[in-house]
Amino acid sequence: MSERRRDGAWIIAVAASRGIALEPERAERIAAEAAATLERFDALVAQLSADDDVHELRRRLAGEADG
Amino acid sequence: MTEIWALGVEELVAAIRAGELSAVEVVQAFAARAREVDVLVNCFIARDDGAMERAAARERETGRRPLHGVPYAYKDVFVHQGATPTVGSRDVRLELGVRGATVLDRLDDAGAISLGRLNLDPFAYTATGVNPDFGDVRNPWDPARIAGGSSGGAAAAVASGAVPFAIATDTGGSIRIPAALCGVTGLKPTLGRIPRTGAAPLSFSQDTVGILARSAKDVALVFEHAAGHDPEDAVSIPAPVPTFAELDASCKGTRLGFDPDAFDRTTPEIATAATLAIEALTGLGAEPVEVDLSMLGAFDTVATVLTWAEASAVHERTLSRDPGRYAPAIRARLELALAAHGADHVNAMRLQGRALTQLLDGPLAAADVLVAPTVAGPAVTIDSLQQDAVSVSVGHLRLNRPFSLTGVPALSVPIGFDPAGMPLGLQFVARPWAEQTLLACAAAYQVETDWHRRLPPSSGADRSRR
Repeated sequence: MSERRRDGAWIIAVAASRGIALEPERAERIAAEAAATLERFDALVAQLSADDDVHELRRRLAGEADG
Repeated sequence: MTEIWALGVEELVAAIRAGELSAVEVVQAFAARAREVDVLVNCFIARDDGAMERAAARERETGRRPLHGVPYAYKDVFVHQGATPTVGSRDVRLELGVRGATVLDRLDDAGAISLGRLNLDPFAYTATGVNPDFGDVRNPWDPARIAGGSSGGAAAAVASGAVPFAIATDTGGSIRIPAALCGVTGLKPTLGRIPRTGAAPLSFSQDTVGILARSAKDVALVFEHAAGHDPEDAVSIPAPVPTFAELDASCKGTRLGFDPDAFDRTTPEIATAATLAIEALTGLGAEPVEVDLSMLGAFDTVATVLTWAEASAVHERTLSRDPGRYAPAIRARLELALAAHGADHVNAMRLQGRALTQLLDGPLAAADVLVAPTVAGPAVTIDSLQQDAVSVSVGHLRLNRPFSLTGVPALSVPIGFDPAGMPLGLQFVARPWAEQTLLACAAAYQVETDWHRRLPPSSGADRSRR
């Protein structure tokens, strides 16, 4: 799998799909600012398996309430 | 003689119950104080002119409610008595629901009397107390400095004696950060503990309603009447609510977990004050144990992406319609979410559950209460934010977001002052639903220390340095 694309052009396209107009310079700035966080995030996502469910937090919290 | 406005919740309840003070006298004193300090710290967005009338109505009641005649105020993010909040913006109107705030209705039913709506960072999305629309909240300890945020108005109002307690929200530190910077006690309870019904959302997976007051005991007294299951709130979980009467101000035998490396990126004054606080708690019978909190950095990354995605969902329509109405700093943060996509949101939620498991099976298995810094340093000047607003916010948020992500309760407690006289805070963290453990530890600490009792030098109260 190739690395995910998150450059300015990609961000402009995403923004347009949501009805938000962005100038290229602004989009490049967003891409640069988000890059480090998303790189760390992708490394964490790589550790997930099917055992990691979106409802796990609620289940654990409810379980703790039951003692 | 102690001024009425310098009394805490517990003292006010006792004085009103004993007939030493009436609801009208109390509300009159706090309303006058609120008018006076608001000029200096700009903590209110709107003061409530009907408060005196409601105090008089309370006075005519034959019975005494638990918080009878105790004034409070709330962050302007709640729908209350049919009025919608500004959420810190004059121009942008979010699509809020019509349901009123359950937590405020509960407090009103308990006899408390609202004095008004409190200032905040726009949309509760930054952590400085700076607001271009309603003016910046100023720190009562030095009005040239920030109060912190986003619940800056709530912390400044309590610190300056405008109200004995305030209700606010915390998504990534918005109660704990200003509580630390203004020298008051601030509780972010377990996710789902106090109803969010009627509160403007920021991040659905992390938004939490909480309480600020001067002392842990005052927070505990209000908590009893604010907490509890609400079927209208999708994250609310039925769990027994501890009563104030059950609070045992003790930390004897409590395993106190701390990671010395957690203070690496704080100022030396905070690290020193934290060490002294841990020593004080140990002297009170707590058992210190070293724990590894190195996973909190990863939690902060997940919380960041989760907040981007959910804040973006809240603001997408208004941002696309009229981006120019957003303050530049807020718009820039909302636009960061464009770099993440739908799968990132889902994966952040999956990582949220994994993070809670890691915390519960690791540090919170080895310790009953974790202590960690609430803020990286004391409040900076408002002028200095012109150069470096983002790193100030991020520096504080990264210490708080991990405990928002995992939904566990966290309490910021005043632990001293820096050489410039600015307050310092420490965060106590426990397992879900163990707010009483946090409050008991903090209450024990506050019996031995007086940091929480000190009032800003300009307050003119005679108990300011007793």
